[in-house]
Amino acid sequence: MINSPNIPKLVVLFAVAVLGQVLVFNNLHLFGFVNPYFYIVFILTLPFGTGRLPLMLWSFGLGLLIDLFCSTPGMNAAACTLIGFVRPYLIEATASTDDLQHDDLPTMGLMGPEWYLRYMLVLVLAHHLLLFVVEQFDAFHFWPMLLRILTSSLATMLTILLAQLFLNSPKSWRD
Amino acid sequence: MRHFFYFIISHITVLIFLLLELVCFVLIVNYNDYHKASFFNTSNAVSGAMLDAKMSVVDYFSLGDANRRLVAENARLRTRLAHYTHIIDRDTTGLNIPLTGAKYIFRGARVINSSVSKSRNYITLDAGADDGIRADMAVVGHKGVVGLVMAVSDHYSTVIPLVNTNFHLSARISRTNFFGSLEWDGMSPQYSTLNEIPEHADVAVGDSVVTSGFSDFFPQGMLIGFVSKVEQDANEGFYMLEVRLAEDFSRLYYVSVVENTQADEQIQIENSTYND
Repeated sequence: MINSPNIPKLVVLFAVAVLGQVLVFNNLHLFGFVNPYFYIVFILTLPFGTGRLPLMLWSFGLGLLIDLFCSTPGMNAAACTLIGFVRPYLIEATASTDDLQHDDLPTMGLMGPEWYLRYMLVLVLAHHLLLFVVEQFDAFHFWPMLLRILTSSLATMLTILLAQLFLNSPKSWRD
Repeated sequence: MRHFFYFIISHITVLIFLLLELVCFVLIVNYNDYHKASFFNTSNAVSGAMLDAKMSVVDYFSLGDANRRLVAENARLRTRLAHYTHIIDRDTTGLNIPLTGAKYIFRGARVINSSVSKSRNYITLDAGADDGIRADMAVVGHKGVVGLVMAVSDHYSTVIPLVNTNFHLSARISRTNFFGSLEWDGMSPQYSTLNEIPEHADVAVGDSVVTSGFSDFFPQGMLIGFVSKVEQDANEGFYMLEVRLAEDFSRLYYVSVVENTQADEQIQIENSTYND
């Protein structure tokens, strides 16, 4: 990962993910309760070759950084650590790892829409499920929570798909 | 022993995963007691400065709206001022209303961050200890009660608003003086619930709900909202009243922080009595 040609791309993605989340998406209260968590696009897009441990630590750190801006210590970090932990297993189970370059980024352009949508759906749902359950722990209303999880997941996935448009130049970033 | 090390090394990822999650949950659990949360919140310097910078951009787009509301509030206050000046001028008893030693002092502050979509929402203000803000001061908006100051740094403070499931406030039906506890259910930021109003109370849709004055921090009689639905609590003999909140929490720009200059005295005398 250190020598990856994608470093500049990942640095920009990290900045866009954090700033976009804190400055834009956290202030976007669609219908009062839909809040996209766009920033996890960074965890989804780290190169295939990222070690399990670094991946988890990046996820934890990113979550903690977002927590700092949301006054929700530990909540985003817990959800991010979970998907950072799950991601390698998910990729092993769904993609033939032999074909993948160490530096390749899991994007829709590279992996195709079918694989990417499934990959994104699992990680986004896992993240939102843990985040919302933890967040509502002492005021547990099942149906409103389910509604929030589903609508926010949908919103998050839309933003991540939008980001694919910019990550999606399969040629340019391999040159 | 070798077995043990072998176990550790072969499961290092899982173990560190569990360790990180444990760290997260310790943070979360500690934070539930919102008075403890003095460090890890948006009033800390770094994120405070960043949110401040954000608002200086966003401000341009909301200036028109904010100005309109400030003008409307000014007009309202001027009307009241004129009314009271009129009363004082007519006061021939010689009893002057003292202007010094006011019990409540209002300070203006700008909202630089807020959320309404979570179940525990918080607000960040651009005024802190240097501006005379302290923890536990009441916060009110143009239309009604907003919340309570939770933590302060030198230049920023965080507020726990009515739309946070951890926040309970003693409230009173203005018309009939029955009081109960206002608690938010974590759903719509426009509505809250007033519990513990006894069933024999006279309650009607449209009644205004105000602060009870039992709180050490809120002036009494400040508008919270209006009763919008009256429901019987199935088994307890109490009403569950839906209250439409007067303040619009998704459009907060400027608020006032209220200092009760006699709060310490009140708490002191209460403690010395109740602890016996």
